Amino acid sequence: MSTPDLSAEDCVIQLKDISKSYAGLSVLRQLTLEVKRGEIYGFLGPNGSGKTTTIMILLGIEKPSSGSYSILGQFGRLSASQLWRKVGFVPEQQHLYENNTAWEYLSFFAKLYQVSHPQRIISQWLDRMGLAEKRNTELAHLSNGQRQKLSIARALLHDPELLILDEPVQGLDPMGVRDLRMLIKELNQQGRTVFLSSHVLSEVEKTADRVGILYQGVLLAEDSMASIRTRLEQGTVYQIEVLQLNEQILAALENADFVSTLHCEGTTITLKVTGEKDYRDAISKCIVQHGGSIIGWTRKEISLEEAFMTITDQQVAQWVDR
Amino acid sequence: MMRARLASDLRTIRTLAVRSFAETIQSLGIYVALSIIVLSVSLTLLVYQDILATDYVLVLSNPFSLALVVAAVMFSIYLGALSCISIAKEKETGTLFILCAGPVNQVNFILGHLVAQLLTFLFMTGVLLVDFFLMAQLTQFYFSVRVLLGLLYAVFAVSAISLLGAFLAVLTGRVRAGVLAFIVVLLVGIALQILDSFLYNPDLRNVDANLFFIGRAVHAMNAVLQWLSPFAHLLNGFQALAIQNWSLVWLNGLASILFACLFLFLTIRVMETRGVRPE
Repeated sequence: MSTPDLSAEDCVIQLKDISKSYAGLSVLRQLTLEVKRGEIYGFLGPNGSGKTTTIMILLGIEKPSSGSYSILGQFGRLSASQLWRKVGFVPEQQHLYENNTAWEYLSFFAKLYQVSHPQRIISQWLDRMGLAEKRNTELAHLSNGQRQKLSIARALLHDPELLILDEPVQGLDPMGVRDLRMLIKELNQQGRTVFLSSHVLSEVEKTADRVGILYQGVLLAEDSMASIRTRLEQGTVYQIEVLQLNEQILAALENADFVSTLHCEGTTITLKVTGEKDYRDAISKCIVQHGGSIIGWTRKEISLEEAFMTITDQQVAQWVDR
Repeated sequence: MMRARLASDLRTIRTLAVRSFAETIQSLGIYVALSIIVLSVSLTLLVYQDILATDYVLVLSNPFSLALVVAAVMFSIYLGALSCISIAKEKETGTLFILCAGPVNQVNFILGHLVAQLLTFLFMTGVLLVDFFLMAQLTQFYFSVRVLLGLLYAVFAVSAISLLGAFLAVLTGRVRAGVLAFIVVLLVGIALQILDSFLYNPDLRNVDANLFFIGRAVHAMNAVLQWLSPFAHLLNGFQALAIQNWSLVWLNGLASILFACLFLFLTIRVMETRGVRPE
């Protein structure tokens, strides 16, 4: 296996045609992606799509079946190349030493990561994560959110250049999720690159600069958030409040060839139109012609999550075939 | 660059070893094991003294030899099992995965645990020496330098047995299965020894031909085991020490070192093949 050409200095992670199979089952299929220095890269995909396997390959824990990759210009196990000095990793499950206190746990990793002034750094991170009061508490007695925060503190002890987070919001309450989002942005502003893997699409949407969508081991799309949304939306949703709403209006709208779905609740019609063309004029004419009058009209923003969910397995399969 | 990496690796091994040793020292298990070992050894010495008195033996070159063998075998079993449990626990709970996603590689990890086992062995040896000293006062047995030599020799066998425990731990990936495998290996060895002592009898040919051939087969298997088992190297080494056959001592010591290296290699290979993630 050879390392890919690192023509661009600003490429922190580079995967080129990475494939991985376990006992004949293909987990990753010719995955190619790039993460640029200083960006927050959202790695999206449902559970089992191959996100964690990709991270395992990046960390050198798993070897790819084929293809090449590099992380900060090197490849292989982090310990072999001293890359661990530059990379922080937060796994999906924390895997803590349960009988350690928070302080003991971080002290042990500070020694392993050869952190200078460990006591100051540990105190600093315990404070930052809101765990200062829990410093002498056994980890077995911490809540899931607190354990996750401790895991993040552990990954940041040695001030890494690149932070790899695998499903970091798992187990966090809404406050914790907000805090984590702020922390990720703060770390990014300090110049760190963040690789954020998640199946919580709305979370990635709020945090990431660029997104890659992985499905069944295939990268379906890789682009900026706005471009991804445009690509996924495939239509617009309108919510229209109509006075004197009647069956004729609904039938006329349902028969219109630009309407893909229609839902009525009380006096409100929710309809989705296909394509990028503006059909507002046609819709309003249709309603007025059949005796209705429009008293409210909103264009509903489709969240990435909703848009992603609208892609059926068949559509994805077509995308994969393409 | 190489020197910096070596220094970094040594620091990692030291950190892992200190952590693992501290965990062992803070647990109840080691004190239970130590109590059992000290009691067994003291009892062995007292019974041995009675036997010697009954047989009117007045002078003995190394009266502690039997107690030393009992202690060394019990140490080895405890440390082998401890090694198996601590490594399997790290794999099972996923902490091994976290370590390997950072500055720790498989060799550092296993060596860190091995050093912790050896530190534990030194700690236990210290307690045992105090016990030997007290027993020497009580029984009037002469406390010779050969006791120290025996304990020093046991370091090689203990390393090999600890690495056997490590190998079984990574092979099974689970604490319970690892300990079970370790016990099975021990029992198979003991069973072969016992069967061999009963069945390897030329007179059996006249009693039952089948039994005779089974006896020969068991004897052959036991002979192979004598070369393969680190426990056999430990016992053979002690016997060689007792008769002051230094070449045999070196040979068994070398065999223990070879087996330690073999188990280290196999452990690393299994970790590479099966991965470090919890199963």
